[in-house]
Amino acid sequence: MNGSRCEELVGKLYQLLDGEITEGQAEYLQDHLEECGACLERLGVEMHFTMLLKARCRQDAACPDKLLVSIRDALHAEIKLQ
Amino acid sequence: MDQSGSAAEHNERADTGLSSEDLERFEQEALPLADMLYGGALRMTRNPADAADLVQETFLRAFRSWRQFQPGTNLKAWMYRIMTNLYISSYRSKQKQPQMVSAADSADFDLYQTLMTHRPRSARSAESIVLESLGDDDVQQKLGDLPDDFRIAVVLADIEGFSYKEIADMLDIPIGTVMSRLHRGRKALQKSLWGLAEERGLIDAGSKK
Ligand SMILES: [Zn+2]
Repeated sequence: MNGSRCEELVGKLYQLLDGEITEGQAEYLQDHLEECGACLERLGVEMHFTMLLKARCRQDAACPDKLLVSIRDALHAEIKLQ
Repeated sequence: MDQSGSAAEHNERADTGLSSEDLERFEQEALPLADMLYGGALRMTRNPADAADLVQETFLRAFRSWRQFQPGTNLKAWMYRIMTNLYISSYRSKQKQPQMVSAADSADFDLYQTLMTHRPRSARSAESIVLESLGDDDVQQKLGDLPDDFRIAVVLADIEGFSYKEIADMLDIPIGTVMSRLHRGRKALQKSLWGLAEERGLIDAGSKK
């Protein structure tokens, strides 16, 4: 295991996970992931966590009808004011 | 649920010169985002009455600025920006926010290492036990307990799927700040969910070495 490259990966882990990284950097980290099981597993854990978070929170409560009506009324009132 | 409260605050009635054609187009394009915005508002305000007020006010502000929206750009991000700013400037100040300490404590929380310590043979098995046995309510509750700045960053990135740049623009902060809030927010959430799993006895709290 290469300690300093592991540190580099940990430092850039979220950027890698979020796709907020240059192609060159991603390739560089990918090379390390191919040879370092610990970092690969670490990435997997974070990825799983993010997916789970989304799954647990993503089900949008529908906007209540009453609120939609109220929004429409307010918008139409804006026009009438002119 | 009381929407008259926010209605009373519509005092700055600038002449926006909006026509009924504008209204028609706004209703067609923006109103379909209501479910999404309401879901986001619930995650920000953590209660249905405030969420309804926030969404209503967001649509009103958005419509008043409708002429400034550039067609072809991301309407979802534009609406979210209005809502986030509104939340930060008005709703947030109503709420107590004493939680900065807990997030500072958890900046170094390392889920992977913690998992490894508890199930040395594989991080995955402990991870599954912890993460998958906690329900929607648990996760939403713990997300709701995060300090506002961190919670908003996590919600915008992980749940709404906005990019760092979009979040930076929305909150008017540098990308580096987005990254650090996101980092700390995720760590804090992981730590508190881990703590919850320990409380529930899903993990043997004593096995940490
Ligand atoms: Zn490594």
